[in-house]
Amino acid sequence: MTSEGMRDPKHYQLGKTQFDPDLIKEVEARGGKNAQMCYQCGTCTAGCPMTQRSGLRVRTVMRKANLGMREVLDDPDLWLCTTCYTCSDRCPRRIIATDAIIALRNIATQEHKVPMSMIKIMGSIAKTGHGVPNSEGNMKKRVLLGLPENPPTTHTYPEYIKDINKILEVTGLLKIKEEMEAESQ
Amino acid sequence: MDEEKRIGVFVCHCGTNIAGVIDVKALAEYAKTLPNVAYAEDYTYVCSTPGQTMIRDAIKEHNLNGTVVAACSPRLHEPTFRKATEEGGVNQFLFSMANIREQNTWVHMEEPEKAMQKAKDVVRMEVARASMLEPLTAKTVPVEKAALVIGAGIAGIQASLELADAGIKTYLVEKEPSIGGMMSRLDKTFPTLDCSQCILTPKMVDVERNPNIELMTYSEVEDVSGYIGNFDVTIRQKSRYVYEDKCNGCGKCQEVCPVSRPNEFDLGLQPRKAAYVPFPQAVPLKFTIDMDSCIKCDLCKTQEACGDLEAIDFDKPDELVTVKVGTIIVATGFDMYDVERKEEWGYKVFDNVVTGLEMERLISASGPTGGNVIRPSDGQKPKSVGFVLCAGSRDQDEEDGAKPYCSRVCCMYSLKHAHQLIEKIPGCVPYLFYMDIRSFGKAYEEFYYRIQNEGGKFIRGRVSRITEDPITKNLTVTAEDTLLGQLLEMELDMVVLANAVVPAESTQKIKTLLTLSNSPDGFLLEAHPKLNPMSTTTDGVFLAGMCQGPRDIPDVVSHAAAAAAAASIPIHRGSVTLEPIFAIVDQEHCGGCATCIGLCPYGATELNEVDGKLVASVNEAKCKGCGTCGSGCPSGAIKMQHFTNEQIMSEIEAFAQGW
Amino acid sequence: MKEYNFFLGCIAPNRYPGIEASAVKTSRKFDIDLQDFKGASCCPAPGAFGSMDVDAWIALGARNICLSEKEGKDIALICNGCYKSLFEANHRLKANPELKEKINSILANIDTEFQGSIEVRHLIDILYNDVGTEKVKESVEQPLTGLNVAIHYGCHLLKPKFDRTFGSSERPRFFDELVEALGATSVDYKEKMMCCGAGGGVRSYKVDLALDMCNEKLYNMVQANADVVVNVCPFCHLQLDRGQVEIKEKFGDVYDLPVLHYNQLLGIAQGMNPEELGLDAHEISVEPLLAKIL
Ligand code: SF4
Ligand code: SF4
Repeated sequence: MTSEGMRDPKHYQLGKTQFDPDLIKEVEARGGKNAQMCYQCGTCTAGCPMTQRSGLRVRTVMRKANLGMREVLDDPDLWLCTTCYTCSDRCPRRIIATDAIIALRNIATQEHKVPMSMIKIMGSIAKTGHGVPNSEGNMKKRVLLGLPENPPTTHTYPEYIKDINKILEVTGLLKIKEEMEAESQ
Repeated sequence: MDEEKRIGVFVCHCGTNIAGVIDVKALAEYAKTLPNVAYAEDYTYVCSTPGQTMIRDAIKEHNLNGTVVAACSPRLHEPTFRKATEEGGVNQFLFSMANIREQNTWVHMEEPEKAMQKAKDVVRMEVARASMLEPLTAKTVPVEKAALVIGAGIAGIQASLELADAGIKTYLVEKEPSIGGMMSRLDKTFPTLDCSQCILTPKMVDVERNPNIELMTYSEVEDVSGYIGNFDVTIRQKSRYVYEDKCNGCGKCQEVCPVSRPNEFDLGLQPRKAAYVPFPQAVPLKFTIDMDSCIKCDLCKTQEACGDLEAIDFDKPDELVTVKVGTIIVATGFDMYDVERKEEWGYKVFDNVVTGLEMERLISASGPTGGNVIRPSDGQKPKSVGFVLCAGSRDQDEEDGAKPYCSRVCCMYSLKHAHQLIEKIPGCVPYLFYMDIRSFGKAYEEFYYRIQNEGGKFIRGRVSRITEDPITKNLTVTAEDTLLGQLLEMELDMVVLANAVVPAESTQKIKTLLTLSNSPDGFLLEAHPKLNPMSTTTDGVFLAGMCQGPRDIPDVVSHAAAAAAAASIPIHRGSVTLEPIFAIVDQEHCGGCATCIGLCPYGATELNEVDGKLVASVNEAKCKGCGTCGSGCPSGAIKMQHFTNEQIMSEIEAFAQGW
Repeated sequence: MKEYNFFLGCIAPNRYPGIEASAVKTSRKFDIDLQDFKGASCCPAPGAFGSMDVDAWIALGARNICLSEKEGKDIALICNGCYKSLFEANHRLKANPELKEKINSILANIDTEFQGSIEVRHLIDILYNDVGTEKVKESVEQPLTGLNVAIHYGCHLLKPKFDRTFGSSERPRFFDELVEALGATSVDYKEKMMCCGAGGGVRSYKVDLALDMCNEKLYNMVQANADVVVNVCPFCHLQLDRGQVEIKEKFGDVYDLPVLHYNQLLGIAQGMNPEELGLDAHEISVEPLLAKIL
């Protein structure tokens, strides 16, 4: 920007910040207990094993959620939390920051901002009942151990899979999956 | 109740507090339609002087014989309106108050129509009640010209000195062998940096010398009965196994005693003998033998030791002493939060993690290291020291026993420690991990400025975890510098956990004995948090210092002086007036079943033989008028004055009439 | 014989069947019968599924619980992820009538209703609290003396602590005691309570970061002279075992540190042979470990 440009009032961007005060309420309603009570001490960020190796900053996520900066939903680092709950166990405000992050992810999912890797796991469960289904090689290992080729789960009793799909359907997840699969094509 | 009832109703606007929600004029008009109402009026502030005059004049003008004021809570202005009624020539107990503010317009401001309906209900009920009220006479009882102070830390010491100087005989009871409390453990005090002992010991000596103070150390209050003006207190003087009158404090017993155990006064950082005084400036300077660790070797009794003084007696029993006092001050202090429960900080696991109070002893010239601050692990001088502020304060984690409140002293004592480290150890850098620095007292913010100027480093972030290098015993502190948004992993020589102050365990017993309550924070509950922080809901019992809530030394001293002033008022007056709202036993109908004896939470009911028959009676002074006995009496022989069955029923009936 | 419906989850039966087999075999010694749980599915994976929709996650978990409720049997499981899903679903639904109503309205679509009539237990909890370390010790035929074990508790076993029953999540001891009961030594290592990095969907979303975390853990374990990592979660197990192969490929770091589920370690101590515990199917060879103890 030139010094000329700096004097251009357009660059001052006053009054552009916009907050959505309902975001934090939604986070709390979706299980982010006490999320509104964050006093920004940083205990969470300091204890989080992801801090030193990634861009995830729990305190900053809490800050943005609290102010209602919806851009936090687009942050790819939101998906880097391993849900270890270290932050939550140490939080002096008894905020379960992990659950707040999960709530934000739920909201992002509604907006189709969930990574496809998650959608794939859903697809596998919808199809087989298992997020990680059995494999040829594993069947052999099972037999060697005296176990049946397939465990007595939905793998042996596929008639139960329709119930799983019904739940995915009524909670709206199947629709999100289908729409996102279509979008990604 | 033959005389015709003529009730006056006064509806208060309370500015817009009430009038902004409901139609006060309509309410007064409504009151006029009620049975027995001879007069009704509304006014902006009935509690004001003209408002009170209005009540007085109306009584005379309209020949009223009962009054109802519809306004705020009786907790605020019942006395005002009673007085106005009495001045109008009507017995003050023929007044009744309808709360249409706290329980109505303040909470129902969104629903004005329903609020109006409720206001009408309440006014109708109070008019009905006022029609049933009976004139009563308040009683006065004499007040014993003596006071009891429980706890001899700085709060108890200050309160006792004030009372004694006002000419009141004061019994000062302390459970430890010496007076002085927590303050005697401190080195210097913020922000003035005057030495704690130097300012405290003169007061301790004054206590010992003051002829009006009877000091009872190593003693505990065992029982309290009676009521304001007339408390009977039983005190257990635990045996020191040393006769205080014979002991001259020479300390020879201590020299020869072979037993060594950690000194509680020094938080166990230094040993003491089984025959000991907790610290050299102890008052009284009388030795105590700790029988739990004494091996009865008798060395202390030999000629080389106590010898002919014959002050030591292993068979000396505890003694129970009873004293009579008019008022009581509770000054039982506080404990420190057990920060070991915050496992992430490794207290008691890592040698070089200490608490604020331990740092105080390490810094203190009279402490275990003679004031040389050293690392517990290797005796080296620390060159970098972290301070974790709010260690257990401002923390909602109940499972860890942490406290939601601010402890109000940790920021400041950590600043002071930072100053002392910089002063004592050249090159030592203190790092204060804080969330907010609360330096609100006189000259406190200036002190913060000073420490920053001296080189104290302030990091805005709460410590998530501390780990230890098993070989060097150095600590790694993990925190976020929230201002930089940067993760810090700092290797430090030592860490001080500025742990929270918490309600004292020992206060529990006193609380029960004196029927006190506590606020949600666990500290003792005051009569009013702003306007009466030194009184309690038990008449004649007052609070001084930290037992009521966290505060620093200047605030403790002011609070103690205020408690002493309040406690001396009934004593100087010589008598107190008791509310005539107590239970009365109709001894004709009492069957002597003793049900009420077990029910009364205040121990006011007793069973006596009258004319060869066992009957109950109620001690008017002890009775709080709670009505528990009355509702439990199977023969209906107990009447609650001012809240009789008929009076309460009339209210209920009046309520039902509106629906 | 105390009977449980044995909830398998995904990774144990479909990747590490040795963990499944060893759980059944070792439990028998304590009169615990882990029975086939028909029609069970994925718990479903808390990180991935909970992240998409918490209600769906609870409802799918509740479906599994309800199957066992119908049989009137408590559930036992051997995976921290399954534990998170099923223990929390069970606990939350029991404690929160509003949530129960909401989830039951979802379950009504499959003619199922959550009752709240059974318990969900992790086998490690059963071993420690019901069986007890003394009995575990008595079952040992081949003491593991001299074996340095790096214990990995796994996050979802202990945290969030307000929603668990094990107490301390900073310095827990019970797992250590169970390992010590077998004669082995539990070695303390740096960042012992750190996450393995797999959870929350991170292993499928950004495997490099998940492995970087695992790498740090493995490094710290090896620094502490561990002979073996012992866990109670097949997903942590996979991350620690398979992860070593991936770490070697991606970052070139080699540890060759054997990884065992506690049931497998217990099986060895109870004198079972490595084949019947499925140890030969691990990515990282357990040979050096077996050589040390057998
Ligand atoms: S630890 Fe809790 S209060 Fe502190 S910044 Fe994180 S979420 Fe907020
Ligand atoms: S739960 Fe997520 S955000 Fe919290 S410490 Fe673990 S990885 Fe970090």
